[in-house]
Amino acid sequence: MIALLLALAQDVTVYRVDRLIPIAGDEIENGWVAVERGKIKAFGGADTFAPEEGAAVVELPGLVCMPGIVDAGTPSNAVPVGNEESSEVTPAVRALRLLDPSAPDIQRLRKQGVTTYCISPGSRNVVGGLASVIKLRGRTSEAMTLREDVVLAAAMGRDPSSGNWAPRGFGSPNLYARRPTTRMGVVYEFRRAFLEAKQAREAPSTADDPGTAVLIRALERKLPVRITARRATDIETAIRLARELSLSIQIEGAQEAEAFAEAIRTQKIPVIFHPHVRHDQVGGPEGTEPRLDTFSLLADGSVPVALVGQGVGEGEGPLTMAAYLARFGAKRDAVLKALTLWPAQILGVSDRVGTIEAGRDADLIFLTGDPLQATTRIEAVMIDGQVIEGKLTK
Amino acid sequence: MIAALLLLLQGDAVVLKGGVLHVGDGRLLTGATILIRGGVVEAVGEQIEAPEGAVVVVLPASAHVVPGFIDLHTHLGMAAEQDEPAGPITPHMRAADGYSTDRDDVRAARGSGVTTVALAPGEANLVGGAMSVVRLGDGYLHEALVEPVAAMKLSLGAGALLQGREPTSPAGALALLERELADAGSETHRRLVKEKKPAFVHATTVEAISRALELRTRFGIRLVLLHADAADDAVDAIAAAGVPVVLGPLTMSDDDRTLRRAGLLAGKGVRIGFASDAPVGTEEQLRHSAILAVRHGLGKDAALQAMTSGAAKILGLDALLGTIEAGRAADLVVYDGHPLAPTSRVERVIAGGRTVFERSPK
Repeated sequence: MIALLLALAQDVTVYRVDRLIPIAGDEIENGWVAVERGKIKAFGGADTFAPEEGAAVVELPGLVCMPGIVDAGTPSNAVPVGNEESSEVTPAVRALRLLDPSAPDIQRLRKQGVTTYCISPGSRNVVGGLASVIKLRGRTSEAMTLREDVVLAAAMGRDPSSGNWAPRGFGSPNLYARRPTTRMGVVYEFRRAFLEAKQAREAPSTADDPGTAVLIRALERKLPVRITARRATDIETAIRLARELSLSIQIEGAQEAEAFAEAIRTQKIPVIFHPHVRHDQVGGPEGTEPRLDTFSLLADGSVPVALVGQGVGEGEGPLTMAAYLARFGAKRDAVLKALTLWPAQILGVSDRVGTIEAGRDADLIFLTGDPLQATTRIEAVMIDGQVIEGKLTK
Repeated sequence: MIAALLLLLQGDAVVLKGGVLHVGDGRLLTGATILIRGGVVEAVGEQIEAPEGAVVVVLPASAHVVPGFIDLHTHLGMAAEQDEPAGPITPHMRAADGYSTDRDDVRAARGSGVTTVALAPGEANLVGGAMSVVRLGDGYLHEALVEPVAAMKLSLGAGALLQGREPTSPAGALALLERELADAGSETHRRLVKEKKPAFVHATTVEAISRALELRTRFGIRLVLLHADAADDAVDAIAAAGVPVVLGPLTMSDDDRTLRRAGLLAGKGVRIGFASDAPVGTEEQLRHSAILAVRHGLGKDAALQAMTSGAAKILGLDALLGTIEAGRAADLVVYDGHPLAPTSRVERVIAGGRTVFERSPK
């Protein structure tokens, strides 16, 4: 409380911790980070510790500080209904307009150390709509927005097809009977949407449709397409479609990516990786045995890989997943980047968040020990210089 | 151990020596040597030296080597998801997009004697989409794919009329199809009229067969008849048009009329091929269909060609597949006896030059 008051009263606050993990650069024992008006002003080790006059110094013995987690898409209820199911192709739907700033999940995510979050349409549509990046603070979606409409969300395989049945006897597709019903049909709808957008681009009078305009931006590679693809066959399909339609893609899910890890790396396809730790997580009758090395095969540094949690409130937040993957051989440097810098790069916000560097937003988390230790607790979460969860007093 | 060694050396040359070689076009060679390298048959003959490092497989005199069989219509590996009634005309649908190589039915099919399949969309749409030819190898689709758009699947069957949208009658179906074929800007027109991709038309009744033949005359499409249960009653028209017919799967419980159809059509000079129509049948059943057809009047040579060179011709891929000759894809199967003897078993399957099945020793 006192520290908070001091932070409000003075321009510069310096936090001294046992260890600072800046991500940009080596970890620093006995490090410090100076925060000024919501931004990181400077950071360093004991040798460079010389707080300027008037700066408040907050001593945090025993704590470890790292950048707030940038979560590229842990499933959450902050988006109450993530899918506009009236059609299987809804490129103009914006997930930001589904955001509920008062949703309890926002606080739950913060408590898991997440400070920046990508709010995305669900994967029930072949082309679901536009995802945006938000900061987990603020009372309105406008106040929370960091960057709007960063990617177009799409999905392959069973996500958009299972449970659907053909509108036979219903007359037309509706909420109870909707397309597509097959893996082949999913690709067909995807291909058809983009081929029609291509035609519309050549005859611009029809390009007024906002959905078509979004698809055209994707065709012009101005908007990446994030394709949810879990099984190997769906990942292969996503890569094939990217080449066929000349799209800039990202792959989300990627639980069975091992067979295509090399292709993903050499073609520089960013991955939003959903750890596959339970055999049933790939989905229904197609569930396969989890492989624990997939992350490491992808995350050799040649392409950014983002790590997300398994669901808010289940205790399996991004940090837990990182610890889990580290336990099975993932490199420390890679899992920590996959929580911070890499997702920030994938989302196009690495100039603002993802590392501790001068000029970045002061989005920091303070932990009671090493971030990859199961016994470590998050003591406090700071967004834009404000301690928003927990407290930093002794 | 030997299998592991073979796997290691699959990139290199393989030599098969001995046995009875069915070239696939009716020719028989005894005691010949086949040299396989880089996924293709490099040479066939008697005076062929095995290159250094080649895996040499010496076959007993009783073994028969045949070109890998070609299944002309199947939904293998598609998880029974061949029907996507997204609309009556869906030429951009592509069967390969629904195919997963890592499914149990695909794994099981590698030992069936079929090495190449024409995957097809179902019969729910008038123009169902592209049929894709894939090889039953051991990799993912990019390795398995022979031709993503080998042919187009069309349906004049009842299935296309029951989808709760247009068309609801055979008359409506025909009107829609004719309009589509006539539209020079349509994908259907491009594939069937301009590119002359084979049109596999599901046409069960005499009426449907007659309409399909009419479309062929009117638009100059390369017609192939599928599920033509009434072909017997239209055999002269089919023969006169020179249109191939794809049959099967045949089972022991089929009536005589069905079982005699292959022999009847072939006797009139009609080119025939076989289909498993999996999951209706299995890939294993392709050969059983041919055996049953032979039992009911089809010549043995004709039966073998229907599964090999003849099938490749129907697909328009005969420069690539269907015979064991220099320059053709190395898709071949070793049987422990005559391939049309019901007691014969598959001993080894080479697909795209790679050994994808080998019977384990007892």
